[in-house]
Amino acid sequence: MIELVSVTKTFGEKTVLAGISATFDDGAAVSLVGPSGGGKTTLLRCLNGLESFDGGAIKIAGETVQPGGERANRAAFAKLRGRVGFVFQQFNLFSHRTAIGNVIEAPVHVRGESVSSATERARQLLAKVGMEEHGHKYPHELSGGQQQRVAIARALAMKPEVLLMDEPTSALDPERVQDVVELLSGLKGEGLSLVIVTHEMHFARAISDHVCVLHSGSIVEQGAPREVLSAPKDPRTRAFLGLE
Amino acid sequence: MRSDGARYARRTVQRSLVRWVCALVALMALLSCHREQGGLAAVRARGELSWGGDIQGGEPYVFDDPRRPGTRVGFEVDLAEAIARELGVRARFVQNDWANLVPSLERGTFDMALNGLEVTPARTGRVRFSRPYFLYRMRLMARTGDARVRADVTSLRGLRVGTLGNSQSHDLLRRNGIEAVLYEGQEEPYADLERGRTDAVLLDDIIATRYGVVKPSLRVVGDLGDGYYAAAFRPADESLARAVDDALSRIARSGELRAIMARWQIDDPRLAQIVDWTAENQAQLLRTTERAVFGWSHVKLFAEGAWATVRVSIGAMVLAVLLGMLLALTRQYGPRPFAAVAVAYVEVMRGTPVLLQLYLLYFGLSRYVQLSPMTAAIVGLGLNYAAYEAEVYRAGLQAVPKGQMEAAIALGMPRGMALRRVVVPQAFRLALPGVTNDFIALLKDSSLVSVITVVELTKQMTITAVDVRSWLLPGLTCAAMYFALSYPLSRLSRRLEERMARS
Repeated sequence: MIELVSVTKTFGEKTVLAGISATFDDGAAVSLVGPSGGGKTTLLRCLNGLESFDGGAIKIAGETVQPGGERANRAAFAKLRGRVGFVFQQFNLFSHRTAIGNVIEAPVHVRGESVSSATERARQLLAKVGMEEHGHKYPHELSGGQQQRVAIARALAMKPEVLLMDEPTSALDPERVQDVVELLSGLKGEGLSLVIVTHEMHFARAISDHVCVLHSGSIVEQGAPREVLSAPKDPRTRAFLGLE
Repeated sequence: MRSDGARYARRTVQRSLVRWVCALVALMALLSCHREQGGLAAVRARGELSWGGDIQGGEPYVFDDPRRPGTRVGFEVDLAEAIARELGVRARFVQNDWANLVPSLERGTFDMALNGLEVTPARTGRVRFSRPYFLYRMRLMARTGDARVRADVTSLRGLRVGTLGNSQSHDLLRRNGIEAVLYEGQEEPYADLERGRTDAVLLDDIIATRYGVVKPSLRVVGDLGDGYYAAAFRPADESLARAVDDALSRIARSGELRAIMARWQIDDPRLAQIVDWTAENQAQLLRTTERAVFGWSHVKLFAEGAWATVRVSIGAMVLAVLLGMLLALTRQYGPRPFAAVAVAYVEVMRGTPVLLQLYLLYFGLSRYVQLSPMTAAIVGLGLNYAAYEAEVYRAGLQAVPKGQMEAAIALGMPRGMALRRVVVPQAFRLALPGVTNDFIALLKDSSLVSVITVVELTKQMTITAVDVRSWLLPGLTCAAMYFALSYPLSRLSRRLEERMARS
């Protein structure tokens, strides 16, 4: 279970998160949607401590994160980051390592697994995301979609309970989006919780159990995608979806 | 008809060729005009005798008057003025690096070289020496307690002996197969002897008296021979040389020469020999000339010099790469006070001459740390180049996208590990072409370490150039060796850049 309790964050004068409270069930796929600058990505980055917040608390993967960033949460982050994977919008694969090298990096050097067992599992993970042929390639030799799959495999290598994804469809050709939906649905079926920031409403509808609409740092509406995306009640959601 | 035409054409070609050759000869005559400025008539016409010396040679030859900076004093200044007076002209001093006095004389920079030039067989074949004006001794000094050093050249076998390059003392040591440590100043050989970096110093007695005898921990062992200082002229300026010989003879016989020496406390009863100098004496002095020819034995010495260059360069580069990375990381990611120190280090090391840093490290700090010349060379150049490497890496670190660090942290890596495993390797790849470039520059800058007695490629070249009386062949050989060392590196740098551009 992921629990957000009145999470706030300001950046100088600007309020980025204005007291966000929400609860996401284990094994659920949650989409964060809303206009640009609404705080979606910031909230996502707060969930694994890439960004600090100023007030409230976040409970995730059995740990409680307090305001104050890295310094205040060293112990929590150390445990949490293994259990919460993150897939970046630009994937951020390590450009000096092959696909296999990217996947085994953290298991070997953070968890202390042996290279041979980590490599064995990396092959399985790459096969799972359809990249078994490409393990020896460097990131610059892979297409955007292929890099994304390696990035997912890299996050899965740490056996996370939660996978955070920032705009997973933005770097893909439209015809590849369905592949990602299938891949993520499969992972969800194995019990993985997903929190996804997206602009793509079809994608949100296809993958999510729960949708949160963020506007100016607040959740203005949340619920099942059927309700929120097809018959929104809040005028700001209706404006965002172009229904008015 | 046809043959006439052909003959005509050939004649035209010949005629225009002749015209070209004439023009060329005229041009060369014009260009070489200034080299004919010497000779007695020319000196008289100008009303001025220009003479070359090096004020760095120090007391009591020619040096800056400590009480009136900018004014040259010394026994050779007095002597030059006396000679000019005898010729009825003014004397004008020309500052010139001591090691290059002869080449400068030859290319016409001044009329006369007068600065402790020893009459050596190597020089005798090249310049026209005047009659001598001073009789010096090669004085051997050692530390007070060191009984190994005796007044006998064979006692020096296996010891390190300090001296000045291309001096008669240097020749004597080389002829006897003794390891000579070469200095460029006169104070440093004795300072290093005191500190145990060398076992003895062999130099002219004038120098020993001023710089060595004053140190209580050193003793005079004895003299290993003597020799003469004389003024040097271009062989073509025979009229001038003869006039100066006459002038010197008058100055000596009138008692003025010894009076000058007495004024500088270097008079010696043995100088009587110079006062009564005869034509037979002069013929005897100039009898032995020797002409070394640039050959395989020199190339072998050059190879040894190149090996020293390679050792200094690689050692310094390894130090610079490691320290540079540490500085760049501290500056980029370290706590503020440490970052400030790193910034200050880079600015100071880049903002001061590396030559000065080498002097300070080797001579300035010798009271506190005793570094061997090779170690000091590697440390000095390494510390200096670390500042440049730090900047190259900083650019590399800044070029690694921020997302790389974030990805590592998101995978649970501590910051230090993320730097070590992810950011630094990528920064290093980005910096590699710049690092290779710097290594090429370092390879050439390594010639500076000759100031702290390391005989590397360039120093070996200058020694050989003086021996064989030519800069051309030794210079070209030396250049070829540097090129052979640096060209593969520049190819490597190019290849790395291309590979980087592809990925």
